[in-house]
Amino acid sequence: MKQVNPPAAATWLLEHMTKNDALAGDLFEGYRHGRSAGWYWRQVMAALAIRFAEGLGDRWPAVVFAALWSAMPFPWWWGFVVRHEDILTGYVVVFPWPYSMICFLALSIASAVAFVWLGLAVCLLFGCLKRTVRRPRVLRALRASLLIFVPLQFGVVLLSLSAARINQELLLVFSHFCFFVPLLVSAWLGLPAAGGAASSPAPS
Amino acid sequence: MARPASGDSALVDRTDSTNRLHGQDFFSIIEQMRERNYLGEFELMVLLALIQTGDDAYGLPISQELAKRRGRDVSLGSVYAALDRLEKKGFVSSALGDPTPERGGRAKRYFRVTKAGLCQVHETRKVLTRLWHGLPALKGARA
Repeated sequence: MKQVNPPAAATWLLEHMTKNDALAGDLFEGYRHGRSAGWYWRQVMAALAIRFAEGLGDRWPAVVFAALWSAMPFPWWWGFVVRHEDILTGYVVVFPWPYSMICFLALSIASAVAFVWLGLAVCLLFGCLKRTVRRPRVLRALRASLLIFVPLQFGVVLLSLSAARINQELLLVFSHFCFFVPLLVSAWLGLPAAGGAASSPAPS
Repeated sequence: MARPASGDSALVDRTDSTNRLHGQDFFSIIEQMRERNYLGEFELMVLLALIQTGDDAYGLPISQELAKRRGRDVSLGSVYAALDRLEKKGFVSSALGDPTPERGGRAKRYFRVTKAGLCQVHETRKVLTRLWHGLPALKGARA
């Protein structure tokens, strides 16, 4: 038997990711007038894809910047450090285990976070030259970068500690990815849209 | 500095516009390119479906009209994206209605073609008709 209301998960995604109330209402109405749950899901997925594509178009400087910054020498330097552990661990090896390991993880993640924030600062500085970058946006960007980057970086460090068992090239690609994604998300959140496009429609 | 002769005015204009272009930064040129005012294929279809739907046109009837004429289902998200672009270009205007229970308490967004939109549709039709008339017979093509 068909449910009276459309799938809740799809509605939640639609309301939170597109913020288009009129579209949500139209889909609700279509579902109530006999459309299937499959139709509803397809429409929601298409709306999300379109929203994402529009966002990429509006915020292409953020995409370019994230790609450039994540290709900077830091990942290579970090890979070098991890491969020659004595350079970094020499400073923390004085502590007994597990404190030495905790210090090592904290130090490596903190230095990587500093690299991401430096990139974000440069990005927002460029953004300031062109448009207004407001404080709530900056805070949201910093928060997002931490929330996404720290778990990813934790994974990179753990993987690199077991470097003998994994492919080094794969580790490097994963490391780039771990810099690219948080930079993209935080720059996306930090910079206003290039075309001045609103995130939700503004009816006259 | 010597004043250019009147015959050189076109050259001066072109030099001025080149200087203006060089004076603009890369980002604003890209943004201007994005704000072009011609109609894309899908935008034209949405605009025509909006005209067909008439008064009280909102997303769902417009997409149904478009799907009926096109012969296949249309994504409502793409219809709204096209309508947003058309509104930015000044070809349609929109207004929010009252929230209704049959839409889960959400309001309808009514669309209407503006005068500029109608002019653009006529202009596009004229150009397309001229282009079609100028075409030789298309061999092996099916309508």
